Amino acid sequence: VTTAAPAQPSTTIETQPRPVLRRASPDWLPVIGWFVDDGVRHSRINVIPFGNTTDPHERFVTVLKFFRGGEQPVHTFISEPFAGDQTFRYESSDLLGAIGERSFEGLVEITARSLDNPPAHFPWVDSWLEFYADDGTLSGSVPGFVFKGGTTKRVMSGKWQHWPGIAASDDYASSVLLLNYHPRPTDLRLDLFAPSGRLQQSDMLSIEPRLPATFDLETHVPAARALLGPEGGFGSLRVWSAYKLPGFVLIRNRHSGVVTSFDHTVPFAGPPID
Amino acid sequence: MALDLARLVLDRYPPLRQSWPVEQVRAWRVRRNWREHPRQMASWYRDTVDMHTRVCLSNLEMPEAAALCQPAIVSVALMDEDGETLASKRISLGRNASRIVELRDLLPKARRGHVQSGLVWIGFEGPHLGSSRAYLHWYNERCLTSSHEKFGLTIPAVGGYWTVPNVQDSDEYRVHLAIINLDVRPYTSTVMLKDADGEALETHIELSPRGSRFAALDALFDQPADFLGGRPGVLYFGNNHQPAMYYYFVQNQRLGTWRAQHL
Repeated sequence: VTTAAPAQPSTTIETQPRPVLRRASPDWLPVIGWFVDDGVRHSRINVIPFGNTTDPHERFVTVLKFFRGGEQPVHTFISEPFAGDQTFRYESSDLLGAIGERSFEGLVEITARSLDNPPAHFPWVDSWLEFYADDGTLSGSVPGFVFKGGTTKRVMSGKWQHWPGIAASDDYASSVLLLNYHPRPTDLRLDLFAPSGRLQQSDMLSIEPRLPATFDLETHVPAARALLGPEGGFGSLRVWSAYKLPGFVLIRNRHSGVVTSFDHTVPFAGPPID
Repeated sequence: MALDLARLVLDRYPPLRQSWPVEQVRAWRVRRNWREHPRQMASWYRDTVDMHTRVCLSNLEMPEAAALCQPAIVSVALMDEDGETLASKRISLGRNASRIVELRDLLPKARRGHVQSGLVWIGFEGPHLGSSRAYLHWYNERCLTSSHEKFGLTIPAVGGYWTVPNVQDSDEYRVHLAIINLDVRPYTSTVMLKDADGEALETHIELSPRGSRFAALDALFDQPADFLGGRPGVLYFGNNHQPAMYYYFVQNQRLGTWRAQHL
């Protein structure tokens, strides 16, 4: 047993950890989107750094992960660095070439990062997914959906979302595109309200893990036209899901077959009751 | 004096707080607060031969919190291109009800079919629930395209610029911009169009307070199709500090359709 005094701690060694610099998010957040190419319908990813920075020289990089049902992506793409005033674009034909297949329908996870700056109060890079068809029947552009970390405590629940103005009439038909990013099946139900408040509901539906699914409104709510027709052909859709599902509504002209309406739903929000 | 007296009585006899008249006063005060502080939303409308607009409102309950959903009043006001008010209307909206409002019907008869661009302001006088959102339909005989309003009226840019991600100029993909000034001050902005190689054209746009403009790409820039050379470009607005809203519309002249998206 020694009775010598312990050595003095070195002044070059920190006895306390440095305080962690607090940021809005520890890392750049991914956004989620639908991605399809079946030879007629095509997709394009656009990552726009100028949505987040005014510095044309700030450097960015993008990682794309394409999922089609499995836990692991079927393909991962890492871009070359690009400048803040450049736009990164990725075509669905690039994916088909990379995986050696003639069609793909699944999810894409887009994670774009600045190589020069940490994320700030808006911790994801502006990313848009475009969809178009060779025959002109599909035309749409939607923002990538921030799946986690992009909501605040004020959001009551990711389980309810809605779309006022959904159509089921002689002229227009609607479908609902939902993205299941979870690694488990997710149940859901479509609630269709006429303007007067009359309600028709679908059966309980389900989406397989890490897959998108499109639900034709009149297939799953067979009385949709009868419900909305006497009140002008438009109503409101409410979607319940067991877990959060990014949702989109597509409206198609029955006579031309052209989809010109394609945007995301909005979640229910309000006082934090949950 | 009367308020002080009333409070004194209620403090002296607390069961009176649950009485019918006091409940009525409380409900009146809540409604007054909703009216004075509506949930403010805004969007853009057009009423011309090639495009009409309707607003779709809903007031749906969330079953786990059904009591939060109450009958509400929604006020809708329409401005013209210069920000002058053209029309306004208050609309009742019951629980789980929706209203589909043809904006043409609200306009003065002389202006119907002749409003190139305008701000539509929506005030939701009720509990602030997420289900009290509005979507817009922009439509003609061949198409219907839809997107949501912007709520809050003080929308900031998020560190960069408001950017249109894919700009083309052909008969099948002609970009039109709808820019709406939410500020009470005039709005001025540069508008930058960049081609796929990073070459840029620049112009500027001015809007009066609460004013708006709908402009095709070739109304802002000379020969944009030649400049873009058949490859997608981007467009962004240099003013990233004033509250403003931006939508863009892709016109397919072959099909006679519009496709809308917000920024």
